[in-house]
Formats: sequence, C-alpha cells, structure tokens
Amino acid sequence: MKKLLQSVLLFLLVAAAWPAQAQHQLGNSRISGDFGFNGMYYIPDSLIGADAVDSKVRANAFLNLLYSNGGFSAGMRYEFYQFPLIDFEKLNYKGQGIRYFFADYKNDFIQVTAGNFYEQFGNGLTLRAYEERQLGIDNSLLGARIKITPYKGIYLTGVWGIERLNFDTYVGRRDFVRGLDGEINFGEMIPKIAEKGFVFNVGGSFVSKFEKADEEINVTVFPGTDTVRQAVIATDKIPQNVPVWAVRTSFGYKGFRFDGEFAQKMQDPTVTNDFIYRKGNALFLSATYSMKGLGIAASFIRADNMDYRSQRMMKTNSLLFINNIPAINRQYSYQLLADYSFASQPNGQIGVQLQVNYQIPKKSKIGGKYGTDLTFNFSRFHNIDRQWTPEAIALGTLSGTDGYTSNLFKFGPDLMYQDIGFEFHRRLTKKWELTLAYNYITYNLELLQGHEGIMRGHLVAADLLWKVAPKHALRLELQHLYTKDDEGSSIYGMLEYSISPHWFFSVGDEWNYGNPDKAHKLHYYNIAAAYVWRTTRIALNFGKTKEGILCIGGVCRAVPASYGMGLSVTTSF
Amino acid sequence: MKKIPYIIIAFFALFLIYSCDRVEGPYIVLDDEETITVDFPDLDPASVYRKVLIEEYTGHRCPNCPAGHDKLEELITRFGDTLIPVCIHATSLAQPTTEFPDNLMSAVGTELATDWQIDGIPAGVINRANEPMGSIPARWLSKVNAVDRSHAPAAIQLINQYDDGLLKVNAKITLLEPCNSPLKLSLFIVENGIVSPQINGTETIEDYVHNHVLRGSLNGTYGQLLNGTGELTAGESYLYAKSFSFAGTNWKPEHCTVVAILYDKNNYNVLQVEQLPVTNSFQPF
Repeated sequence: MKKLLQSVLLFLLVAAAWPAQAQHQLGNSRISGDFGFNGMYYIPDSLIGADAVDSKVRANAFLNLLYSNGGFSAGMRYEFYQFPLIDFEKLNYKGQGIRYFFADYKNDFIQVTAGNFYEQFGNGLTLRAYEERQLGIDNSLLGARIKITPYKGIYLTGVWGIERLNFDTYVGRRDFVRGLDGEINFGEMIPKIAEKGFVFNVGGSFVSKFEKADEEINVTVFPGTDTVRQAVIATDKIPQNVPVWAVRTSFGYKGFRFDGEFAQKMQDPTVTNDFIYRKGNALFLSATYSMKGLGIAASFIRADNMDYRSQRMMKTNSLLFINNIPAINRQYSYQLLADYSFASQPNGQIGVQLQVNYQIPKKSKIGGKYGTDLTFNFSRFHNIDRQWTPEAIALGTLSGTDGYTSNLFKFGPDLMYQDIGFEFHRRLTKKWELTLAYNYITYNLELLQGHEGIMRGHLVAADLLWKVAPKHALRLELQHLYTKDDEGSSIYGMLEYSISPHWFFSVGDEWNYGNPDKAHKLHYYNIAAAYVWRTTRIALNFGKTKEGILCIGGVCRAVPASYGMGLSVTTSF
Repeated sequence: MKKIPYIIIAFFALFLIYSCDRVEGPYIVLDDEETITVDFPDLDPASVYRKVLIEEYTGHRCPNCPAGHDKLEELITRFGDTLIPVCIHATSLAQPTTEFPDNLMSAVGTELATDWQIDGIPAGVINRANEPMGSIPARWLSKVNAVDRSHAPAAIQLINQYDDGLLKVNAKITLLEPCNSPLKLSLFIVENGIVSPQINGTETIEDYVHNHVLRGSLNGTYGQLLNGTGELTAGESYLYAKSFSFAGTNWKPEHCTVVAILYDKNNYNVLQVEQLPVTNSFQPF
C-alpha cells in the first residue's frame, strides 16, 4: 500500500513538474494526459434548499496519464473525490485512489487489454461500459479484453471482468461479467460493395453476468383483500448466471441508412423489476435519409424488463448498469428544459422520434443570402402494455412470478414524454446570427420523477449572436417556459461575451416567476468568467443552481440546490 | 501462432454457452399461517421514543459474568423500558458440563458471537455498533449514553397471539425518518427466570436465576428484509408476521418475551428495538 502511495505521489510530481505543452515524445514513447479540478465554496441558502456544507469547500480532482510506444500503451487515473462536490456525495461517488489502470497491446490482428477498460457492443443493449464524468458514472470493467480482426471487416471481441462500483474495492465481490461480440462489415470485406455506395453490417453479442445467490429474497404478497402474507424466493430459485444476447444489422445505400438491433435478456429477478422471472427484450430501429438540403431521421425503441446490472439488489440510479438503452429523443441544452429531460426507462418504454431538417437554399428569396435552416422534431414515449399473469393477479403482486405479458408494438396507457418542436436558424448578415425555437413538452412527473402530475409547457427560445469585431463576439440567449404545472413558468436570460481565443464572460439569470408558492418565485443568477491558454482552461463562477436533474444521453442524476463560488481548472498535455 | 487467439475466443464462446441458468416455477414459497388478522392501533409519531438494545455476551462458567448481570440490572433500573437486554450465552465458558448441565446457548447466539469476534466475556454490544469484541461492563453506561435518543428513526408495534403453545408475532414497522439503507427485522425469543448453576468468582451458585436469555430467533440470525428489499420511505409502514411453536422446547412461554430488532442491513446499527411478553400471564423476574 505504501509503495502504491509512493508511486501515485511520484506520478503526481512528474505531472506537476511537466512543462505545459502537448504530448511528450521520448524516442518512440509518448506520455500524455489530462488533469481536472472542479471545486466549489458553498453558501447555505434555505430559500432554494441549499444546505450548509460543514467543510464549506468541496472539490473533485483527477489526473489521467497515458504512456504509449508503438502498439503498446498503459495508463492510469488517480481520482481524489474524498470530499467531493455535494452532487457526487449524494451519488456516493466518494473516495480517492487509482480505480482505473490498464496495459494494452495491439497490432493489425489482435488487441489485448488487462486492467480497466471501456467497451460497447452494438448500440449498447447488451454491454456498455463507459464513463460520463459529469454524471458520476464509471462502469469500467476490471479484467481482460481480447479483440481480434481475423480478416478484413471481421471483428471479434471478448471481455471478462468485474464492474466498477464507485470507490469500493473489488475485494470480496461476488459478481462479474463476461461477453462476446462479433461483427462483419461487408463493405470492408468486399470493397466493391462500398465502392457502389452500399453499407451492410451484421453483428451479434452475448453477455452473461454471474452473481452468487446466497441470501433468499423475502417478498410480500396480497392473495386476497386485506390479506398480507410473506413469501420467500429460495436461493436455488435465484438465477446466478443471467445472459443477454442481441443481433443487429445496418445497411444503407447512398443517402439512406437503416440500423436495427434486437436483444433478449433471460430470467433476471431483481429489485428494479420487482423480482419477476419474465424474459426482457429490447428493439431499436433507426432509419435516416439525407440529400442536399434535406435530412430525415426516424427511430423507434421499445424496452421491456431490460434493466441489467451486476448486482440484483442494486437500484441506485446509474450504478452497476451493464447495458444501456439509448435515448432516441432529441437532446436539448435549454436551461429551462433541464428538469424535463426524458430519462431512458429500461424496464418499460416504447417510443418514436422523427426529425426533419431542411435548408432553404442560399441566395433565394426566403432563404436569404446565407440560407435558412429549419428543423421539425416530434417524439413520443409511453410506458409499455402490461397484462398481469393469472398467477400475479392471484398473488396480488408481480414479485416471484412471470410478471406480465406484453404486446410488442402496443403502446402502454400512460404517456411519459412528448416533444413537438420547431427551430429556425439564420445567419442574418456577416455579423449577426439568429436561432428561434419553440417546443411543446408533455412530461409525466409521476412516472419519470416520482412526484404527482403531468407538466405541459410551451418553451420559446431565442439565441442571437453578434460578431462585434474580429475575435469579439456577444451572444444573447433568452428562454421562456410557460406552464401552469409543477413549479410554474420561468424565464431565463444570458449574455455572453467572448474574446477568442483567451477570454469568456457570461452573466445569466433564471427567474421562476410563475411558482405557485410566492416564497419560491426565486432568481437563480450566475456570473462566470474563463481564461483559456493553449490546452488549459481556468474558470470561475458565482451563483445559484436550482435543484433538479441533469441528463446526458437519456441517463440522468439528481442535482441538489447549491449556492456559492466555483473554480474549475482543466489542462491536457 | 495465429490460432491461439481463435482458441481463446472459442473458450470464451464455450464458457458463455454454459453461462445461463434456467429456473422452473413456482419461484416463491409462501410462509404458512402468516396472514395478519390483527388491527394495530393508530401510531402517534410524537409519542415514539428510541429504545436501545444491549446484547450481553455471557456464560455460566464465567466467574465475572454475575458482575456483568448486576451491571445490566443497574442499567435497566436506570433506563427503564428504554433499554432492552438480550443475554447471549456464548463462547467456551457457556458450554454445558457435568457441573453445569443446562445448555443456555443457541445457534443464533453462537453466530452473533462469532461475527462480533467475542472472545472474553462478559462483553456488551450496544445497538450493534461496530465494536468488535464488545466492551467491558464498566463502559456500558457511556455506550448507552452515546446513542442519540433525541429522536426515533422508526417505530415497532408488536401484537402477540398465543394459544396452547403456538405463538404468532405480528409486527408493524413504521419508518419515521428517511433511511437510505435496507432495513432488516429480527424477532428473538428471550426467557427469564431460568434457574441454573452459575460460577460467581470462586464459588458456584446452584440456584442462580438467569434472565433475558436468548433462546432463538423466529426468522434467522439476521432476520428478514422489510418489503423484500429492505427499503421503506419515511412514513411508510410494513406488516410482518411469524409463527412459532413451543412444542419440543423446554422454554416456558409465560417467562418469555419477543424482542424485535430493526437494524440497518449495511452497518448493523439498530434503529429501534421493542419487546413484548409472549403471553398475557407473563411473569417478570
């Protein structure tokens, strides 16, 4: 342990002493990396619900180091989250140490990795080990990986490892994951196919998790009115090896492309699916067509009982997920829609997404000198159809039964999320650019956030950019969310001034003027400044953050209310 | 040489083929006779106070243990019904011999003593704090005082139904404060007034009265998870029932009480504890 600490300190000293220039060459060797520090001084504010923080100042810090020489590379990441930002503390992402390290060798034929690695099979329906630092997600696998390319266009991958669980040590873990993926890219295998503009791939994956079942599961059943009974799922009735498999294909010709993947999970009674024995499945379909000035994209997704994690009793958001059901809805960066982002529901969602992009040509009457971009978007997600099995009805619970049956293409009775949106973007003159957007959002608060009601809101947004002078730009962002539901209407404004490539300033405010509770018609202001020098960015900000959720790619986490001053430093070398 | 990776992948494939368990139904077994037919009185959260569990590890051939029992009785007098004792006869000094023929040990007690690394007795563990080997009697008072009793995280209501050797314990757990950890409930049977020899210093007291003796558990050493998952939200209640027959034991129901222990599955800390005599004709000692 002492030696490990010494090695870490040595690494840190080397990194600190290293002159700030990109990537260091030592003969054929190269050392690179990046460092991040994100700290905040917290001020309690009872009105917005920002609690006092004992230590007042908290921070997250990490350092990545990567060494490479020809086909060999090795790397590690030291993380210091012992006293982390309160968001991360609430996720229990707390601790310090090296939880990511690897050695890797690859040539044209084979790649082998030992240590931690990230990997995704297909669209991630069976396996997606990834890192999303902002969400506090690191599902890397600790183990071994082999990738083989036996013939041009044929790819085989095998993985074997234990999934990372925050800063827990891996000692004593009784769960692990193994998987195999294969893909044939016919365009690479037979060049004539690609030359004629065709794309054709097929693939398949098989992943299996093991978790020792040494504790029986107790469930409560309700076999009659006013009757409550206890029941037990014995250890020999708990599947220890749970596989999931998937097949996928994609093909395209010139501007048209189709992708599809179907996955099935075998019996996997867990706390997130109420301990049902029904098989899970997921279907993802996507078709796109593009030509000059026009793009059309349509997607469909259905997921049924596909929450697949390393440990059956884990229900904390985002932890120990082996797979990922992708969110197909359009992702927005609007401040006022942050709390109403759709979070992917692996255990029950069915939905469609359609997006049409059209560019009115340049130098036309309507399109103007620079052309005009129009975007239309529609997405709608429901829960899935569920018909309880006779056994589940008799027991008054899904637990310990096959649960329910479900029609594959039938939408469930409850609307979870709908978005109808239009966007207009136009460069007005050499110096001015304007974006206007309108969205009508329907968001089921009960199914997606656990509190009662449905939010129906109209969002109008404008983004105006003025290139004041060479290297100087001023950007104004205005948003208005009108709703009578949840916390009522809000308005947001932000002014940003940048002097490229070094300086950046912004001031913004969100006012929840329509909150039904007068005491909560609050302002959430924020002032920020940043300085960029080569690969280093130093940023300061001061202001209030509203309690809500943060979603990236359909994966969300709760954001606690906070008030204070933040400092962030990032650099890469 | 190039065949080696294929062989490795083939092995992977082979392992994966067998990486699948298929379980045939029925998947659950219903506990017998656990229908709850009693009505619990309405709970006034303001009237709930936190009680403290003291588990005293002891043994009839332990010379210092009577002093431990005295200390325990002193604390019970001091704290009244807010302190609930369980005497666990464990370690080699609790083993029966010809001189001490009665077996006051239990499988549950032995497992707890092993898990808490109890070596020397008497030793006390208060509210199952993370304290390997427990503490000596002189420290019990300060340990009990260290428990935050200013608020009650949960309430336990018990109703015992007893008829002709058959006991049915009905429990209602109400979580009064949010708790992020899974919760478990243990139901212990303890017996008072067992007259059996005990060493005291250098002498043996033949008619020593052993009280609060752990006889066993109705639902395993570490009890059962509430709701199957152990998770309750603040304000939510959970009903639980367990039956037990005294037939085949030499325990006297009228001397026994049920001790219900609600604890955090992750760190074993006790949130609340409650006790109730098995019968209405309970004879305290």
